[in-house]
Amino acid sequence: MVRVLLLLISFATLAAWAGAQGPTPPLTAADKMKLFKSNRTLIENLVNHGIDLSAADKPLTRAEECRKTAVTLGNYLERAAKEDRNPDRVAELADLMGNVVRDGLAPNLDEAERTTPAESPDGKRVKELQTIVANDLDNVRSTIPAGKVADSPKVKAALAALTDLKSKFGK
Amino acid sequence: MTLDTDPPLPPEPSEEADWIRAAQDGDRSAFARLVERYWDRLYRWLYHVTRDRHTAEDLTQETFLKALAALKSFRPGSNFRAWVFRIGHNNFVNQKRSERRTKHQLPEDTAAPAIGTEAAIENRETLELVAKAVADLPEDFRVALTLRVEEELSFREVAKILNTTEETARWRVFKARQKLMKVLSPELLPPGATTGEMT
Amino acid sequence: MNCQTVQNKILTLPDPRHIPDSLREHVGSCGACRTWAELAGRLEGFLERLPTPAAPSDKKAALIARLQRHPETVELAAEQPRSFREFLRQNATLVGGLAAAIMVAIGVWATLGKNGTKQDVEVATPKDPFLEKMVQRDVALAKATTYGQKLEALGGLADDLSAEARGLARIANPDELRDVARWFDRIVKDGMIRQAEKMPGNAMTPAERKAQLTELARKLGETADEVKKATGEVPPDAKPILERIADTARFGQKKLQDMAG
Repeated sequence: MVRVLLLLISFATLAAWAGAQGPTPPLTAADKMKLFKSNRTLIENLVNHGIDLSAADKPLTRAEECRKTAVTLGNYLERAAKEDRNPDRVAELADLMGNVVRDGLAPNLDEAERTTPAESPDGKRVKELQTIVANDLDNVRSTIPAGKVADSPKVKAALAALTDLKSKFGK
Repeated sequence: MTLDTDPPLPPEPSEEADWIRAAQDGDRSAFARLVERYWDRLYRWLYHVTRDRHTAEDLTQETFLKALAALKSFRPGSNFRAWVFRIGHNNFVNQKRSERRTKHQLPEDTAAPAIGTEAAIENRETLELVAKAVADLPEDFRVALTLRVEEELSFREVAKILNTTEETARWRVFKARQKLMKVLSPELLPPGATTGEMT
Repeated sequence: MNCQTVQNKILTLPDPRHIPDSLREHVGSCGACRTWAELAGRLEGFLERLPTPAAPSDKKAALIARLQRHPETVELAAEQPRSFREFLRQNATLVGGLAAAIMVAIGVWATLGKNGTKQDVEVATPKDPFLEKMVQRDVALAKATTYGQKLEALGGLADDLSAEARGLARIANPDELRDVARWFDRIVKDGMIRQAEKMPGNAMTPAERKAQLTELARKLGETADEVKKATGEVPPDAKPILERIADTARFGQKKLQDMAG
């Protein structure tokens, strides 16, 4: 009887909590404008990277372009951490950087490694790029100064995901 | 009970400038005069924008506290009212982001006309319909329209408060009026008038 | 001037009750426009008199009193945390649920909640869905190993940019909108058309090539139509920019159609 009561109470509490969260409210026009203004230059960079990616004709070149995209996101992440001190933005940019590295860079680098003779110039560049990317991922954490941003659970989770990606690059 | 909607006489330009200067030098009672001058107007606008008097009052208070904190950045000689309203608009935008539910209340405690003539009653009913139609406008249209009409700001001043171009401010007010005319034109006819020819 | 133009101009006036000389002659001689002007004037009168309920508490008087008598107690906005009472009001459902649970002695919530202490309620920055889309498209381009896949991804990128332009046209300033138009231009000309031109003959069968290019051309045509339609609902300074996007889409459509043969 007590167990049933406790279950009912837990359910009611969870239901109340879930109800209070509600659906994510849609962005207002003003929000959209603010976001566009914040991300305008970053988006221009991403469009340029997209053009370069479309022109890349082999896995190594695509991997190089992906790395540039990831570095661009990393630079904006650093600015968000040091200047804006905005944990939400830092976490968002870290997630996006992770997507590029995991879904774009890593598969292309793997394919390049598989199809390129190790002793060729391209083969050597593949190895180099693996080390560079692993260092890039390490550096993200160090660009975030101690304080509110570094202590944010969202930022910690996003950085942990980036750290996990290092294993794809030989470290 | 509604607010007294008769606007206060505008301060002498030099008087307000003196208050601002004193407030910038740290005289908080001078700032209190500015609060007295502009609170009701800001609250009225924020009420029509947010459609909730609690939120409007909170935002009004927050706006004046932020204005006080930022007072040293106000350029003497520029338009203090527009500057305060801009802060108010920024607060409104920030507040929207944290809002979980849209509050939509019809005007409360609307004052009854002093004399209960049929025309006055019809006018009051029309006013309620107009208020509801304004509340139903898209937010960007409603914000621009109420600034223009309630504060009698030029399109240029409205644009500065909303951080947009004069052209866009004018267009938003136009669209707001266009929508209201579409919805309300039968109600806007004076009592006893016929519809007549309209395109 | 036709009646529609006059009636629109009346609504664009600072105050429709004050008709300028440029419109007065037409309004004076046209019954429909005269009625329209009268109604617009009445509307303006009602708008000026919109009722405003009194504020629920007397924060105005309280603030003025503190500024005058105890100015040192007025905390400036930057330092002032939100009150616990405000946290309660904004989260009534959650707090009600928690109170019910606590009343039947679930002590766990009493320790997780922060009763009796002030809250610093942070306003979260929302994620940018458009930024996320742009990154997804770049990832799609990174994964594209064939010309067909590249063109598909570039077509998707063009779609996203034109949709964003339509969404921003009512609210962005012209410089911002011009950027989006410029990006769209690059994607269509330097992306789609260039890759379609570079595509070697053996990249796909002639039938597949024709089908894909025709489909991409069709989508650009649709984009042009949608953007052109949107020009009717945007401020005047946004119109030429949207028209530029529509022109670019038509240009791309024609080029790809020609290449499809």
